[in-house]
Amino acid sequence: MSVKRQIISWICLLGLGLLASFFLPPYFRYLLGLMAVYSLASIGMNFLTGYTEQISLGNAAFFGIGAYVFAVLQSLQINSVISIIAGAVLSGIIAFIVGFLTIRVKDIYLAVGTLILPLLLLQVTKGMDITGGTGGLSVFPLVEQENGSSLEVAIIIVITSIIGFVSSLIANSFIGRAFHATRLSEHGAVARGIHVVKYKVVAFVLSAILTSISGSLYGVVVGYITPELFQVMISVNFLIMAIVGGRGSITGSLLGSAFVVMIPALFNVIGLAQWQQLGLGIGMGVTLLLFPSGLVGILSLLVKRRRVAINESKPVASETN
Amino acid sequence: MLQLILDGLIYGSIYALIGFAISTLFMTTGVVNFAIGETITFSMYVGIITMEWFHTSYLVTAIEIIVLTIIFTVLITRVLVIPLLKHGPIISTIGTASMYIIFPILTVGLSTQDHPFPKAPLPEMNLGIISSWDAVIFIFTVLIAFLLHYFVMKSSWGVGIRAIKSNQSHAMSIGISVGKIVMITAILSGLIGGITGLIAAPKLLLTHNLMGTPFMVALIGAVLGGLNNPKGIYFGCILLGVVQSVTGGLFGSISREIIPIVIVLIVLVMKPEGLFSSIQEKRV
Amino acid sequence: MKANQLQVKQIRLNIGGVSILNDVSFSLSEGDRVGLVGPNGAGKTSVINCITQFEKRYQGEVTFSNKLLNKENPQDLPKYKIIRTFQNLGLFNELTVLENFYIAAHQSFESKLKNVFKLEKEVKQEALTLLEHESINLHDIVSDLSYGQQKIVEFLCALIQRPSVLILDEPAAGLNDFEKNRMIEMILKKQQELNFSLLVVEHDVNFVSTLCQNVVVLQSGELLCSGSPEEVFKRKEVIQAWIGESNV
Repeated sequence: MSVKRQIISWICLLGLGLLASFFLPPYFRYLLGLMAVYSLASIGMNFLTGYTEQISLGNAAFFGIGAYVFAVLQSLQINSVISIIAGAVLSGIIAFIVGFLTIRVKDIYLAVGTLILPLLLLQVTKGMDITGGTGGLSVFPLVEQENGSSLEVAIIIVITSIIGFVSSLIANSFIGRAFHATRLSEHGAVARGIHVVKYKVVAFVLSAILTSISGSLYGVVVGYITPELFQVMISVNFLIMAIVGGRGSITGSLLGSAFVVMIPALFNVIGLAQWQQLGLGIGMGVTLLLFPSGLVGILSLLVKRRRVAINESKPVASETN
Repeated sequence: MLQLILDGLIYGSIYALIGFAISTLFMTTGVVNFAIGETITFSMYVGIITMEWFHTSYLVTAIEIIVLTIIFTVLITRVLVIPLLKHGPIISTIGTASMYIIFPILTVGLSTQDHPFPKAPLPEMNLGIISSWDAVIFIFTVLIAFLLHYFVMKSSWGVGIRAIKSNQSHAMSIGISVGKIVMITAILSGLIGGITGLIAAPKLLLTHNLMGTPFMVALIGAVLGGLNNPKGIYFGCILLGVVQSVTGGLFGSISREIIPIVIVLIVLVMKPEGLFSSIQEKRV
Repeated sequence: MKANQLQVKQIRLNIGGVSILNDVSFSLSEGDRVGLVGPNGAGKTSVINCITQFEKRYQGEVTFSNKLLNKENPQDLPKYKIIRTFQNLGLFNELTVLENFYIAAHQSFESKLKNVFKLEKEVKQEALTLLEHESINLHDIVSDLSYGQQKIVEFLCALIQRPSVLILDEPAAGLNDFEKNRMIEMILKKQQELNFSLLVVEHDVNFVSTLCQNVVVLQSGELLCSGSPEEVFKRKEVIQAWIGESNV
């Protein structure tokens, strides 16, 4: 996607989000905020699982680190932006170490290797006073208003859109292409002079930073955080977002986060709150079976139709194999 | 101290059983069935409810539970794992995660309570140091470990399983029916899963979280030992169980969680294919 | 006499007690077109795997402009402008042709971080020029192209890496005669334009005879002989080696 098209689509998205944040009723505004926040984690997971095919169950750790660093620094009266960045830097450093150590580990072994990180932090946060033990911590809004106000959600949407736009620039730049290359053919990538190990670690760090920012903002949207943020289910949720949304696609990541937030919410609204997980499970199963490349597959189906039409109008010289 | 080790052995055995259930399907497909634990829990709840309502005997209930687990595992394999496998094991694994979400809801729909689950009507023996049910757990696990090892390493089906594991398209070209073998491993996985439930529930109490934590620990233990061979899984899970129990007893509950995790991390960094795995890393 | 650019000295490769290569030496001078030929299993691809450091278990020396390459990693070879293709296509099938070109130009992207957008335009322009006479669209997905077209794209992707030594692994495999001739034409034309030296691993005798000035014949991991194609392909031992194995 060209840079111009990216700018236009992100500005449209931002405009829609801002509009919605001022006109939607509180519950949907809350969902909107959640969706915006999760979309960063979803993009982060996609850089790992979708782009470089490193399956991680450890991203909950970075989510929790972001949330906790933010909440603790906030209680020390430190500027919000600095708190978010501090969490992101810490996550990035940890991800660099983990990514480097596990570079030889693949597939399910990598998933389990990374799973260990949130399990470890779950125990640590439960045990420490500064993190509020099992009770967790309250998080105050970014501006002097109550949690979940229009302005609050609008600010979150602006922040996530900017970061989302930067990630989409990265994804469509030579870095994103190098990620694709390492996944599709390691030999081919090496022959093009792409340092596979380096880019796998870069994906890890990038993923951690995005997930951490997402975690910081999550606290702001929800208003409190508990050690439950380090649960495996959180990581699984991110995986679902990335895979059901669409592997290796930023648009897909956004769709995935909308999917994971909206399906349970839909069940809530129609009064079947206790069945919301059922809806999520069936929804993702059906989506994967119908569109193995994810929700974004529905979009690309339309695009492909158009592409085929262009090709057919063009003469093809050699059709031999 | 001895008591702690024995405790660890028993818990390790339960982990190992779950590990076997995970690995049988993993061997042929490279997919970890995330739903296996929740499938077992659901079947156990169906079992206990029929037992309470219709007063079915233990044997009938046990058979019912095992059959149900097999049916669910086969269905998951048929409907989700195999169709998604052509898009890669990662997608397929995530596909099973949808059932990992669904089954707990169904279980809650059946019953919201915890139930004590009866032990098999075996003669109680006074073994002194361990209860007789613990002995059953231990012996059964060793038995299944041996059977599985012989099935995979020695039987003709086992040859097929290992052939698929090493090269799927080649296995197909020499006339091994991949679909059939995958289904066999699915049935096997369900069978072991059902037995695991029957063995573990009396010890752990039948709750909604019967297999929640054990599944994760079992997965870690199985990876620690090497997911591809029964021997590795057995020793990996036993090791994890013992280390957990001993560190928990000596240093308190937080270390019970942390120290095993640190061990696994070290092992994975040093030997990514698992402690007891003999398979060489694929050369690029 | 031109200076030796790429030199392979006494390469031996043993894997698991089996000798794959035994004392293979040859050299490539600037502007040379050398064919590396031999029957199936002669170790042709192993030789280029050793040169490009994908295979690290060999003994011997590989030097480029008098610099030893043995210690380099395969991803660093493009820095020396030693570029290779693959027998079973090293393209990224799920991506578009243009994206493949971008990936091929990765090294320049990494070294010129400031002008990424400008560079993208340049690469696109260059790709367009390279594809001028082909009926290949930049936005086609590679796997939708015919096999012959994919081979062409892979060759052109290699060119965008500005090779000074280009190593082609079986460029003619799977092509029909018409496509083979076009491939030869294209390689010769581009070689004149861009002035690189060429090492071609190939099975097809006609293809090599037309394309190359020199051939090196391998048999069972050993150097059988070398010289001009007309001379070499008349030799008795070469013909024997061929008839013994080849069923082309």
